[in-house]
Amino acid sequence: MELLFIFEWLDTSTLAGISKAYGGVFAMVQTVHLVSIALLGGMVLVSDLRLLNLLLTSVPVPQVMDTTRKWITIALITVTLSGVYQASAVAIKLYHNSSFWAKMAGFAMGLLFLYVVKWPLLRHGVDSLNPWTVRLVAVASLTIWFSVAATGRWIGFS
Amino acid sequence: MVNEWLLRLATWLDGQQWSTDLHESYYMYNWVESTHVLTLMVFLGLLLAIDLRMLGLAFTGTPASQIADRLTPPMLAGFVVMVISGLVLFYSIPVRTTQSVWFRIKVVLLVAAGINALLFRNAMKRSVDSWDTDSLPPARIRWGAGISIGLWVGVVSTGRMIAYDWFDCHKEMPDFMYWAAGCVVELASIETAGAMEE
Amino acid sequence: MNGMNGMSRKGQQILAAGLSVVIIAGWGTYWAQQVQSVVELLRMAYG
Repeated sequence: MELLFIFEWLDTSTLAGISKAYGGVFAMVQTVHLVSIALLGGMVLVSDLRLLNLLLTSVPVPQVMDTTRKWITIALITVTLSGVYQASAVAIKLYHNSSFWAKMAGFAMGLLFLYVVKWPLLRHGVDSLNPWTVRLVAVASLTIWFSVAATGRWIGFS
Repeated sequence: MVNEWLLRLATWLDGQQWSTDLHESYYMYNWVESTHVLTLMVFLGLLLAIDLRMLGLAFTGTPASQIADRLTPPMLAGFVVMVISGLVLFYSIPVRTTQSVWFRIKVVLLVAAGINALLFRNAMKRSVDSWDTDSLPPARIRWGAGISIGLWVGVVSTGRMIAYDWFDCHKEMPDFMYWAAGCVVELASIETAGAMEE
Repeated sequence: MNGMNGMSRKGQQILAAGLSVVIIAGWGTYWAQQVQSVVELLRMAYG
């Protein structure tokens, strides 16, 4: 599958014209991205540490899942919007960056895992589930999102 | 006066072999910076979770004090590693950072965030029994949480800006900016130029 | 999204556990390789 055309299109889009022209706005969007990542990371941490019985153990799991799911969804939206804005300024460079692709693979995996596996599984609470399944799901979720953040930081270095 | 003293300290740090090694080491510097950003995620993420509870926007079914008590230890763990890695980053590029206007604003915002956190803690301790289980805490508490989020967003934002060289001392910019960034050499030459005109 | 709602509870659990193991192993390998390549570079530089 050849995806270069998407990046070429993004590189010549109006958005890219704006993101390349205004350095100050770019820096502010980076801040939005960082704060969104923190929100996402914090809520993922609370959610998965609860599943591992390491945090907020006196609060019922469904209650923790309800709040964290809401804020994770909000963070995913802002992280994506600010991410696309930043990508438009360096689209062609990103296409040739291996950390970028590692991050995108992780991000897609994280989305699918949350919406298709984790939340549907926990919909009826954890009481009827095998505790080892719950632990594995929590560790997998932490692994994915840690990896997305770390490979994302590495984009700027490589 | 303070600027000269700070610059002397930074120059002394800069002269140390470890500082140079760290700055020139591609992998070490990147590992430290990545640690700084990843622990920022842990610290700020948990801080946001606590502040959102205080704003009545998250975990509303759980007592506010319980959220604060349980999330504070892991938040502080992230904070400690974040501060250490931040100091190492400063140590590896001391002179430029000392004369960075962004870094200076960041330090001011950090101090403000610290004072706000102490005031908030006291206000909460004094009154929490009367509203602990309310889904929407009193206005005073909500203000404190809002200010906390605002200050920390400012810290992240100015921290990110340090990497940009728009207002570095060697750039052509208004005199005010040399003063704000504490550019010792440039300020001295402005003074000499002024004296010569007289 | 419905996710795995059509499946039996047991099927959901097996799928979730299996996927989790694959994800943990996959990223574990990725990070092990990253660390290994850094170690090798360091060895070339200093060893």
